[in-house]
Amino acid sequence: MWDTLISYCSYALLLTGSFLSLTFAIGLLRFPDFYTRMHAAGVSDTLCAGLIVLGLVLQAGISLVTLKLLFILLFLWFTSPTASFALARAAHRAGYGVNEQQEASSSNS
Amino acid sequence: MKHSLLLTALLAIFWLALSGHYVAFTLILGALSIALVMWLNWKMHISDERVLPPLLLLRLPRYWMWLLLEIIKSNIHVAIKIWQPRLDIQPQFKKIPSPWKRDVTRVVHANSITLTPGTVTVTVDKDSFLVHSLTDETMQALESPEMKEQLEKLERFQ
Repeated sequence: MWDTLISYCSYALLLTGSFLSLTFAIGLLRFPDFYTRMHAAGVSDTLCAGLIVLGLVLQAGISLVTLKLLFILLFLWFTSPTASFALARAAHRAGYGVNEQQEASSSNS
Repeated sequence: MKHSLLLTALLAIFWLALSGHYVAFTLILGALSIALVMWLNWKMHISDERVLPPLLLLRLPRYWMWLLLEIIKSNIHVAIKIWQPRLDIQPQFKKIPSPWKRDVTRVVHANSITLTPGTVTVTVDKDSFLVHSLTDETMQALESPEMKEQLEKLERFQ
């Protein structure tokens, strides 16, 4: 009884995670430019990865594996924004999207 | 010195949790790798209070809980935007003030912005960030007093 409940929870988490992964892929195709596509990628980095890892934790049961999976999640959530930042900064330095930025600031002032 | 001891203890706990094999040989390997890491830290001058304030470690879990809720909220927001038949997005750049004195708080602030779907930190300046946002709503969330309050608490715990 308890085991089946846990596996159903795990399936639900894995399915929701997979759905978000699909959402990210569609966002990547639909959004118009580099920066907006990065926002779509943000979905897969955070909640999608989190739900899939939590689903796997429920599959594995309580053991050292659980702890390792949670560490993977923690490190993923530390490193992925750093990588995203490096990517966005590189694009900005290369001058990508700078025109829009100037338009925005001139229309504000 | 006190700080190095704390870091060594944390590394030891981390290693023991990951290893799962508690025999003399692996324990010696673990001790050696911790010593190597501490030596590298010392060479890079990053084993001091400014990098990892011990009090902050106690405060961070509560910040993470709050951030997790924000991440879930904006995940749903961005997912809806992706599935909407007509694209309804307002991509924009904006300067967000980040008046924090401590480097750790600024890193946490910048990373939190990037971690929340819909907003990405593009450049980091002395007292502000240039942020790109997918919609008006995600940008407003960044400027909410709630976020400022949470970061102020982090700054105080150092």
